Amino acid sequence: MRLLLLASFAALACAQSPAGDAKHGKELFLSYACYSCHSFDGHGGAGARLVPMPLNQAGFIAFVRNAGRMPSYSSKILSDEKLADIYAYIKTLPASPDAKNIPLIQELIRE
Amino acid sequence: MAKSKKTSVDRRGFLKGAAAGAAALVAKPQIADAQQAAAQQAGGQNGQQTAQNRGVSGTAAEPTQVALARETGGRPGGAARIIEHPGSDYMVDVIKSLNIEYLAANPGSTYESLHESLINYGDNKMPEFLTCCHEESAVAMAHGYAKIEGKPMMALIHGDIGLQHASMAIYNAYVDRVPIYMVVGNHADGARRAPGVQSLHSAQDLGALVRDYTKWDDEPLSLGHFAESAVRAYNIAMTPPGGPVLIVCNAEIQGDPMQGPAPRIPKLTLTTPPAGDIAAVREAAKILIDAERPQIIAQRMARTPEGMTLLVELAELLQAPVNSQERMNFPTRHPLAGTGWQGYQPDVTLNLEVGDILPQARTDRARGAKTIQITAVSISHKSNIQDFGHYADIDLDIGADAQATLPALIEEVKKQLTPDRKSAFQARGVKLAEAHKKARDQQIEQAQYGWDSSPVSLGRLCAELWPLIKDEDWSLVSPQGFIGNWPNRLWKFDKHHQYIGGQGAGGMGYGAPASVGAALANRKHGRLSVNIQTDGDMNYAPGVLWTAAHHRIPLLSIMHNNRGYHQEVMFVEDQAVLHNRGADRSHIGTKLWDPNIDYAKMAQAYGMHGEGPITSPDELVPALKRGIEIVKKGEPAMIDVVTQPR
Repeated sequence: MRLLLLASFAALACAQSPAGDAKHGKELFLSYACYSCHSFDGHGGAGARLVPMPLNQAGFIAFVRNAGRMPSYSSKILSDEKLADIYAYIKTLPASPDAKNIPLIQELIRE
Repeated sequence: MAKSKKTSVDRRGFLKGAAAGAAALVAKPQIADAQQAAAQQAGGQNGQQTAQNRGVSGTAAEPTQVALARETGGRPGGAARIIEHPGSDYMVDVIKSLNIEYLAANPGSTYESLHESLINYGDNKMPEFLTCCHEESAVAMAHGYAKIEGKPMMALIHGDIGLQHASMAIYNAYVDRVPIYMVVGNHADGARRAPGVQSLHSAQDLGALVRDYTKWDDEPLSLGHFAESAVRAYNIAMTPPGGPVLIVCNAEIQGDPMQGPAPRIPKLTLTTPPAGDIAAVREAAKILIDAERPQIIAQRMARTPEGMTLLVELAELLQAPVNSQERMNFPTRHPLAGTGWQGYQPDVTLNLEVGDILPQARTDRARGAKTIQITAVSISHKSNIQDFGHYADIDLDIGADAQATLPALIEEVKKQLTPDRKSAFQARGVKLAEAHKKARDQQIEQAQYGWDSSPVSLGRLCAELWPLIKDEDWSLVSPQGFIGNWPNRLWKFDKHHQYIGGQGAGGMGYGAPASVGAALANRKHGRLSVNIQTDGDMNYAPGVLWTAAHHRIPLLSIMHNNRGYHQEVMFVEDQAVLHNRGADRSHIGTKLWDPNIDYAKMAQAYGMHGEGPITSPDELVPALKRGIEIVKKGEPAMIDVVTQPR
């Protein structure tokens, strides 16, 4: 459901914005406590997984402005430029290994 | 009234010495004499002066040397005084009759006579004294102990100051319906108490401080009264719904000499738990059998292992999914564990000892489903604290203990079950088993997310821990709410002692001491106790680590160290966004960093093995293995793991 919602924002977004500054984005990701719901590596927790990011930059900004369960951040709090930076940082975060390639997880499933 | 010659002479000499050293007292001898006489009259059956009325010859305005010594924390010298048979010895006899294994306490003078009787007259056995650094720790230890052992541990508490320290832990236990046996010292007799600290630590109605969330309390006025109330209190604590009970134990009764034969100690006979009315149970069985998609929701249901066995039998008879919360009610890998297949819309829910039932009842009503409730809390309400939750629309409300009612409900289902319905149930059971397996596999696969992350993900932590404990007789002695329920998702829970549930009232500071208390109960069974310890909770009263080390309580504590009150970070962030300002300031007042707390050093300082901080998942398993080795040798150990927020 969450992914469907994200996908709908992706569909709405049609324009590509300029690339953000990933280094600044990391600082914002931490100072604005994005990590508190999404984890330091964007792999989710109380909030949705951000990696791999299913949205383009415009879709991401549109989602953050009008989020569902998540608080909706206005441009007063986080400008489009700042969100572009955060987006750039999220795009640098590595994906998790697939469960099929983690022997311990496979062992747990077989138990 | 007759006086004990020896005591009288000793006391007289002591008081004379005190008076001689205080010029102010000499100026008002008649007043002092009159107060002394009054104190003697108030001194119990024989009017003797005892260890507790020392200092009564002074007035409130002009304290004696004794009182002055008390106020400054010192002890007066003086002639020898001997009370060979204080009332507190008899109190120990009463307490021993209740078969209580341990008492947890932070020392205090309002119960000093009883303290001495417990360790000398009672030989520090049944109960054995556990030294605690905070009354909240003492009561929360008793909370954790009772969840494993199914019976109360004692907490000995010092006057109004100790009771106020203990109050949050009492409230948690009250809401969690857990029996705890509390004895609280007091200096009730104003004529005999010394001015200063004895007054500061005493109350006219001590139980009133916590009465709103104590199941029963009493302040006995004599030893015979103490015996009756002490035995009654134990019974009340144990009768479902369980809860903390409190006996105020006045210093005068503790310290006055025994006179004549000891009062008889009443026999303890536990009241049978209230079971549901048979007509209502019959109706419940009919509704459940007629249902197409029943669901069982169990919270504080299984008080004992028998509760789990009964719930498995009922679920299998009905082939109904079981959504277990708060307690170890149902095996996590049973094919009926869960909430059913995707889109499973219950047309009947059977709610067993569910706390605030409104959300479930509201959902049921919205979909036209029936709601059945069985809970003993329905017949045991208080007014002030709102732990009873909302009033809700219930179709069948059975005011009874759910576990005690299950045998009758099982029998009724068996009686009413027709071959047609049995066949339908079997078909439902096949689908539910498939759904359970699918949901379980998905939950396990979720552990992949953040698998290589640093700080360590909680999924990785719990996944790595499982192979190290699964072949032991293990017990998870900490809540799961703040660790993403990862143990439930990954581990195989099938024994009652494998999980003790949450805080009760959600009060932080419960986790660390409750885990020590539960590990204490597990010790004699040779179980491996595991505590995944949140950092915010740890810092309420970390002295409990010393208690674990001092009393050789084997417990593996693994810090879920996310360096903050993480939930509050999210809540404050949410509010900042709602108020459209300063969302980069949610760390203020919520984070535990700068400086980071070193839990390995904290553990070492309290005398136990401590290592960390571990930030890389690759370092995890060797550290966990070292910790487990130490715990298996009978000692506590702590591994500090820096973790993802949740």
